[in-house]
Amino acid sequence: MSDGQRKNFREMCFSFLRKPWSLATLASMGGLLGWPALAERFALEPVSPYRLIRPDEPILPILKNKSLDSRKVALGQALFHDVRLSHDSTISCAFCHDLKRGGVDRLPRSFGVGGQEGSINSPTVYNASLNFRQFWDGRAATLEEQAAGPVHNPVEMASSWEEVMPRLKNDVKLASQFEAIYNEGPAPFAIQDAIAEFERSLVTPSRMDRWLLGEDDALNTQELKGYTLFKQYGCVACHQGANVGGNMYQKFGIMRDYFENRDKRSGADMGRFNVTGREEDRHVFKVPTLRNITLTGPYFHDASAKSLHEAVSQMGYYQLGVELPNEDVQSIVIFLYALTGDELQ
Amino acid sequence: MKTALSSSRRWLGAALLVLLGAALVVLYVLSSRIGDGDRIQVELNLRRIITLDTDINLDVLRLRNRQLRHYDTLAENMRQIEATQADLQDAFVKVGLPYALKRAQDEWQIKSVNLEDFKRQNSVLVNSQYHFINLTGQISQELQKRQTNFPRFDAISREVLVFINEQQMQSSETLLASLQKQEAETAGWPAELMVSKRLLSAHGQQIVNNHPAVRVLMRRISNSEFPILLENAYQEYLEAYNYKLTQAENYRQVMALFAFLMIVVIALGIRRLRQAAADLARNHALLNNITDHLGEGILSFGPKGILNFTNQRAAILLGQDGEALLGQTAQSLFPDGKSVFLTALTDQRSFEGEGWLKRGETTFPAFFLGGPLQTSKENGKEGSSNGYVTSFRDITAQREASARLRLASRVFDNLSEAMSVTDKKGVIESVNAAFTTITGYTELEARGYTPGQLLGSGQHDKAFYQDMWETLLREGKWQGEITNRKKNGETYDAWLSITSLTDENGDLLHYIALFSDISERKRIEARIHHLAYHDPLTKLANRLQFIERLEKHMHESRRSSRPLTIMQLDLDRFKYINDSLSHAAGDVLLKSVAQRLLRMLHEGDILARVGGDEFSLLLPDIRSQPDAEALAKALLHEFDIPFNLHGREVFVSASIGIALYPVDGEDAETLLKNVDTALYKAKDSGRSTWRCFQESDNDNSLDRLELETDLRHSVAQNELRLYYQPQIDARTGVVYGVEALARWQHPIRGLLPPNVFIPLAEASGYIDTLGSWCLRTACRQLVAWHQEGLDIHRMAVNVSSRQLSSPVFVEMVLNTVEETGIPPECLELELTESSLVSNPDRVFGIFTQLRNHGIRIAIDDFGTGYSSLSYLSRYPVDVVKVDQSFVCNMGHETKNRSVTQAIVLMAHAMGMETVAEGVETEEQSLRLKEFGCDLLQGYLYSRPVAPEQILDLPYTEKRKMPAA
Repeated sequence: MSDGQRKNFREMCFSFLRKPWSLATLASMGGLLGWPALAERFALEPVSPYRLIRPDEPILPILKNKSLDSRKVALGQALFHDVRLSHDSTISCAFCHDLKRGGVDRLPRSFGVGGQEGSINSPTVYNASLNFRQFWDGRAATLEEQAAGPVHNPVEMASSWEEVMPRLKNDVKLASQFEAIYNEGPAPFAIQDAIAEFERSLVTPSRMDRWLLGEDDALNTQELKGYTLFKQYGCVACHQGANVGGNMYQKFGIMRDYFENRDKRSGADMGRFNVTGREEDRHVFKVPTLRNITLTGPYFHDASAKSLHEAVSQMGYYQLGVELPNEDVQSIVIFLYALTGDELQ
Repeated sequence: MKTALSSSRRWLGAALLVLLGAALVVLYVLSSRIGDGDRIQVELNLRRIITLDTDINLDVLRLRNRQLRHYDTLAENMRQIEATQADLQDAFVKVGLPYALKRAQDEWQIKSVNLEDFKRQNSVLVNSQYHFINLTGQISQELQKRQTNFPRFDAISREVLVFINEQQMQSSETLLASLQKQEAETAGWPAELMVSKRLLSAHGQQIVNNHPAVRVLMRRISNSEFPILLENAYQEYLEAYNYKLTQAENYRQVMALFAFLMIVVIALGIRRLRQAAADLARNHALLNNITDHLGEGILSFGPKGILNFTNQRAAILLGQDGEALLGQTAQSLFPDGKSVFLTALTDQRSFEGEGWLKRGETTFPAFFLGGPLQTSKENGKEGSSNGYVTSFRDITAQREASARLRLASRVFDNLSEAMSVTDKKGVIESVNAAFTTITGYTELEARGYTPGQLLGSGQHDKAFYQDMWETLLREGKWQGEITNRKKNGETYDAWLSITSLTDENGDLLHYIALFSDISERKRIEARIHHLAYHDPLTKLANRLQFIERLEKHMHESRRSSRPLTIMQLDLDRFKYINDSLSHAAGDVLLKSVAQRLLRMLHEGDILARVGGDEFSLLLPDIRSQPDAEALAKALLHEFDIPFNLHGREVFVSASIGIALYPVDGEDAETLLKNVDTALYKAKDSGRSTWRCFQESDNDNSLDRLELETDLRHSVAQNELRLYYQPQIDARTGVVYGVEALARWQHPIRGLLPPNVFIPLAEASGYIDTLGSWCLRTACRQLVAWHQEGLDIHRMAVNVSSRQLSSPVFVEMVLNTVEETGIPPECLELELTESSLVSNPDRVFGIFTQLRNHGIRIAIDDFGTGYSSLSYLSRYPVDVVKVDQSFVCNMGHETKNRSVTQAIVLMAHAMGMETVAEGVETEEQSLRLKEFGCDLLQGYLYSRPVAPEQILDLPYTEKRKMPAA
């Protein structure tokens, strides 16, 4: 308790003694009682309940999130697979983010309603909750915000809440599920909340995490060699943290101009510039996660790299300014396999 | 006016309460909008942000120096600052400062952009730095291996490293130019070094490009005024918060005041409500009390036709419990759920009329007066319907009364008695048809006159009328005989009965006068009186008068303790004279005897002719047996002289029996019986002599004792028989009923008539057994005949006066009726006149009880006893049996003077039937039919016959009873 807080607490008590009838005082007592909860709310949640065995590693281990509302997760899962969220009831979230395919559709660009082709390669929904922003250009601050995006995107689901809501309300069973959780029928807020909660359950601990938590046998020597190269070459400068990426923006083409020789240029290539309009943000993208990267090809926002091998050497070339030797690329790719979630193997 | 006032006050109170309540709510919202909790939250959030911000700054330094190698904490802290800022913004909006955080927020926006740029550029910079150092080391080693030295390479590398580490701001343009120059200078380097050399150069360029930018960013980040701006905003918040707090405090004080006012208003309201509730309860109790004492039922229905109120009377009329009635539908009260009333109820119309209501399984007519209930009218608007209320009363009695009234008016018109109705002054208002018939005046003529003016004959004095009016005013009625005058001037006697009619308050409304012309009846009555008491032939008293006088003198004698004597004189062989000479000669003889006897008597003695040739003498002055015997001798002496009968000298002798009161009998019946006994003894002892009664004549006879003993076994030995003598319907000539007559089939003496054994039974007390046997046997017989299909309507059974004294007589009769199954109306009990005299009240009671059960009462041997018809009329008697002596005498009387006719007329006038006994000739039968006698009984039709013989009677009409 800081001095300031102590003083406030004292004042509060005095005010209560002075005005015992005051409802405001009583309310503040409630606030007092709720204080520990507040303190908890602002405390940094530990990433792991275990002691961090390898504190110097730039990559942090993850665990399954156990503090979720299972009812919301179940509802979110149902909604995630619900085609009624799209205009013509043909497409669900899972259409592009196939959970059996690493949370993506494995297509260069996704197809929306009526076979319309999207402008960008769909990122995986696995571990999306660990990203500091959503979308390639980071235009959504939260999962909830993100969930509304594809629904309204004209080439994706091409729908709207006004269109979706009556359909869901007519589903008595679904409506009663909403009723049970949110005390009201289907509503945009509730849909976003439930889907986000479901997505928070989609974290995929891998062998890498077990290694980071001290299980030395989790990675073999080849993989460890790959990890060392991963760090030595500087990949880890951006692909670090719990999500091996996903916590910063970076320019695509640091050491060499990636877009200079591209024949197909699209608006999506502008990256974060589309959001901020700042010159500095031209071709700047959110650094994508490398977890489950073996499952989520083709790679990059424009799906230009068909294989992981290609992607790794491209990254070395444009971002690190090196032409990686083939065996090193191979090693790094081997290491990347260790980032694939145990469940998704 | 009072209600208007109180209603306006009520409104004022309610409005005040609502106003106070609303004010309280507003004040509560205002006062509770801010509190210490809010401020603490704000401060907590603020400190949290500042702490996070400090952490961020720290992370930035650590990241720059590669002490931290991932950006998760930075990203997480930024995310938390953004989230906490949003909470903070809400708290600021709450105190009315939506823009106070604006500058801090803008500053954070700048800082977060800087931070993102930092992350991006720092990661590149740190990576290049790392590689630059590594590459420099690698190249130096290679160069050293090759023994070549490039001082310029070292200098530039050192410059770059100093550029990085010492954070000296050398001109980056210069450094960049040096790096390019060095690139050109190394053109001749070995190929394997060229790759590293080019990479080194590239990283050096990155360092030179990014380092100053990162440094600027770091400075901007650490120098960000974000925390200061937040603190400033917090100060602003505190000011606003304190102001709000003071405001809230003020609101609270006002709220306390308002709450106090509200409590006062509510307390006052509650007091008034309680008063109102108490008033309501009182009114309700009063209403219940009033309605429960109403003569009419009250039903109140709710808007849906459900009963919600009734009074006691309604519950009684409907035959239900008051509580049970509540909640029933209106339909359930009416038979089949239908009524005109229900239509009115449904239409919400007023209703005044009649209808039928249910009372249990029955219904009754009721008169309704009802209408819709409306809520109180306010501001002149029609109140909405709130139900229906009706009163009703049972009009069964009224309906019956009106039916009676109709009947009465019919009776009024068809009455054989004249009737006039006057107003209270005595002026005639209406008269009936009989009035017109008797008086000759029509209603039109009679109206407007008093009966006195119209009908007065002038034969009554003032006192008569005065008495009449006095009685009328005093008792409300008057009756008596009055002589009036008809329209044609004739006078007539009327039995007038006047009744005054008053309303419920006792005020006089009308007089009703009822009268009949009794001139004719009076004449008959006078004649009957004479006939009844006098022997028309000799003008002497008859048996009736003799017995009346005897009773009177016996009473006198009891008082004076002086004995008196009676004698019975009988002409010897009178029947022979009657038969050989003629009836006319007989009549002359009787007249002569009477004259001679009268000559011998003194003043006060009474001579009566009591039978054909029998005379009775009442001699109050003869008080001893010797005196009596002396007189008897003298009287017989008179018969020594012959009688001249139509020119022929005839000697007639007589016998005399003597009895003295009280020694030879204490009542008239005994005395007369005993004097008869004495007479027969005189006759037995050779005629023309006298005998005094001796007790031994009756009691000590051995014969009598023997017979009495035998009698006691008669029922058990099955020696008693009942014979039946038919009674013929005078109009149709067929058998109507029978009279049961007892016979005793004595084993030695043969068939004995009742006059032999009934007196014995009466004296020995065996009469009850014998009587009930007779009754039971007769009843069974009739039932048996009915079963055989014989149409006999009447079974007459003789009852001795001794039987009446049995305390269980009525019970015995009723039991017998029930036991045998005889229809009670077919049973007729015959009693002698004398049985009425002994205990009139008891007999009256017995008759009434029997009659109530439908059993008929007949008076046997009427005319031989002491009672008159008028005496008889006091008893509930159905039938009068005219004694055979009258029937027998009819032949000697003139047509108009028939006693029998008089009896028949009188009996009919009193509503009694008549049966003539001893009808022996066709002539008698014809006369009796002419008089209107109802039933005829006698040898002319049939002797008493055994039951099986009744079927053979010529007048019995054999036909089956209607099938039951």
